[in-house]
Amino acid sequence: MLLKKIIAGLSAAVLTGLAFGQSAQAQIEGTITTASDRNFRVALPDFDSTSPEAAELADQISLIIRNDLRSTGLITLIPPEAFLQNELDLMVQPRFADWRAIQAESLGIGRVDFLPDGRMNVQFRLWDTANEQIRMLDGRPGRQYATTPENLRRIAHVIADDIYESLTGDTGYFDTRIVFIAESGPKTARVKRLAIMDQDGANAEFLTNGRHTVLTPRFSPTDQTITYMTYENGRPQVYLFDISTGRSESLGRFEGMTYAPRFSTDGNAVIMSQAINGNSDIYIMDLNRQTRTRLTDHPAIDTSPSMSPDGDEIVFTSDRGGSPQLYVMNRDGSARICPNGNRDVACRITGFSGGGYYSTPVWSPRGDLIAFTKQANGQFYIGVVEPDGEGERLLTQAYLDEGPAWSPNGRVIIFFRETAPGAEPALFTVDLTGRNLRRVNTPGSASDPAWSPVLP
Amino acid sequence: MKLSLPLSIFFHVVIGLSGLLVWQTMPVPTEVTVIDIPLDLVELADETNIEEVIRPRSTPTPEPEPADDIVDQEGVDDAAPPEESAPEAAADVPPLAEPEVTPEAEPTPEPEVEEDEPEEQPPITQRREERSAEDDLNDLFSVADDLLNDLANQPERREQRIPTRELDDDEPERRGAGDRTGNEAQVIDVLRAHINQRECWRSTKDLPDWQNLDVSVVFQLDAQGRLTRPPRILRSSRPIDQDRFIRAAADRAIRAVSQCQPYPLSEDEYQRWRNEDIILTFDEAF
Repeated sequence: MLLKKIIAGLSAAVLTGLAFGQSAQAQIEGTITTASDRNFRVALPDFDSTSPEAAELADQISLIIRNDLRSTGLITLIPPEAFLQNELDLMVQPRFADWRAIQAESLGIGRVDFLPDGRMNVQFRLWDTANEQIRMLDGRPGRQYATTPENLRRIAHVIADDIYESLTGDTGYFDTRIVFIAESGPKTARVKRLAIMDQDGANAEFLTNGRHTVLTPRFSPTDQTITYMTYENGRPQVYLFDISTGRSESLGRFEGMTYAPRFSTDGNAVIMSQAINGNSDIYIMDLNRQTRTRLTDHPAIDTSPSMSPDGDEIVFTSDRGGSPQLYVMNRDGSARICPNGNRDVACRITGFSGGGYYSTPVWSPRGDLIAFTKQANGQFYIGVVEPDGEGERLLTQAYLDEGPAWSPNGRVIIFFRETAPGAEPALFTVDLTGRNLRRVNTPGSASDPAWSPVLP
Repeated sequence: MKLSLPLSIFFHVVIGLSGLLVWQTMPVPTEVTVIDIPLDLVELADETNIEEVIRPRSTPTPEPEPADDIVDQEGVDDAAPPEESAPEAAADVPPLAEPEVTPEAEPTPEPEVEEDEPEEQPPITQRREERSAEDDLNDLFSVADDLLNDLANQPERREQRIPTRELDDDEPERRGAGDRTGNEAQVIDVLRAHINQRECWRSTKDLPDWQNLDVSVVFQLDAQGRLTRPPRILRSSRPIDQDRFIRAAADRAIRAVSQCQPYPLSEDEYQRWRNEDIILTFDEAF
């Protein structure tokens, strides 16, 4: 019996080996390890139109899309003078060779016309010139939007998002808004108002009247609600603001001061600092149950909490080690193994080499990085570090760079900068690679930016 | 204990027979190739007048794009435009082809696959037959040992099988049929250099966890170095549908292969890659 099994096993092994040997297919195999950082090259001719009125809208839409794409620093637009084919039709396959000849990897063709009911009708396709096929946009071979001309800018941003997503594989962030603190007046009597605008600086408007100083606005990751700190009743308190209704409400009357609020990942809670008798700790406020839970209990100053995308961890600033540094803790306050091997409730992740003070941590929506402000050698930096403290990179440097906030796709960081003592603050964006530093247009001085999720 | 001797003998016999079975279908061990076979290796392309087989490129059948394929954006305005607003395809130009996100390889008739091995093998075969007629148990054990050694050193064995001779300095370089390793290195070197020079592969370092975004693309090239069909993903470090970042990495790898064609491979050496699946793994963390 045993022999039979052995024979059967050996035979099977031999036969299997033979089968594999015979089925092996001829192939040549190698590895490519060197990639290019060059930009995506896109041709985006002006959108076609069927009437002079539509032509005006088509030009505006084309311009907004180009500006969006250009602002990424990832996409190079082929200049129209280089185009070899100028007669394009949305429904006709372009001459791919003509576009390849000018090194356009993708070609966007759009058209604007008016529907009989007066609405604007925008159609768009994106072609892959190398593969000679349509690039799918959200799983579809094209996009069509019918809306009133007032939504022109949003339509353009949505199409720019489509293009960005198709090219990079990442989610777009053009159809978003930025809330910030609009500053005006002399430094000694500064007026700080809550303001909001499109991510490209258009449609800016004030949300508060400036009678009370407003600071640290933060968008909900799930809807158009903002949480911020204001001195409305003479002491710092956390408020909520509903953009759709323009209504604000206090998060609650708490002992001492509440400040540095930020929404939890699911938008159902606000994590914040509360200072009682000079001791600041981290708390979380459940917005549905209206219950408040203390997360840290330490004589040091614990502030600026930010939750990880999975909701399991919180990064915050604390001077419990002697200087302001970033610490990571579990959401439930349980002990964890720190990078240094010790077991502790909160693990320090910064300041091990080179010194410096770290503050305003913000967890990336992707979850892989934490953005922060660093102060060292009389300069301020915006940087990123992995949640375990590895891979710290400084992205910017200036007299004052502070208050980083992530774009909803975790690709871009917005922050505010003062270039010299007394200089007016302005908003800037930088790619997480440290490239493509750009100033964001605002109506006046601006600080404390926060990015909205993609609009519904 | 009583069974040990019969078992031992039986095992040896089984291993020997299995070895023989495999041995007959396996390339001959090194020592067999010492038989000096006078071969003059030539490039098939140098001697043949057979016309090159060019796979006809599939031209997408132009179809007018139905207006329904263009969708309304939810949240902007969900009212669909009337059908009459849908533009018509021009009569004198091909309308849009049906698009595909990830083109699947179409089952196309494969040209006759050419043998990698040199055809001049009769002497070796004859010797095999002579040896297989011998029924010496010790010889079987010896063959089994050889086989095991061969299996353990398969790459070396493949190289050793290449019939070689010294070339004169002024003699054009010629490739031995079956010289797979040399083929791979040269073809891959050309592709790699071309992709690097043309900057066709865009870095994935902007994506999270980029160290684990390696993707392998399989494709075939015609004599002009053009793709015979759309490249496709053969394997990846994690399932392509798992998240958008591995999809982005796959898309960039596919586009790198497509965008860089035609590859500057010499048509004279078409046999090196003809009908071969070329697999490129794109791995920045390699």
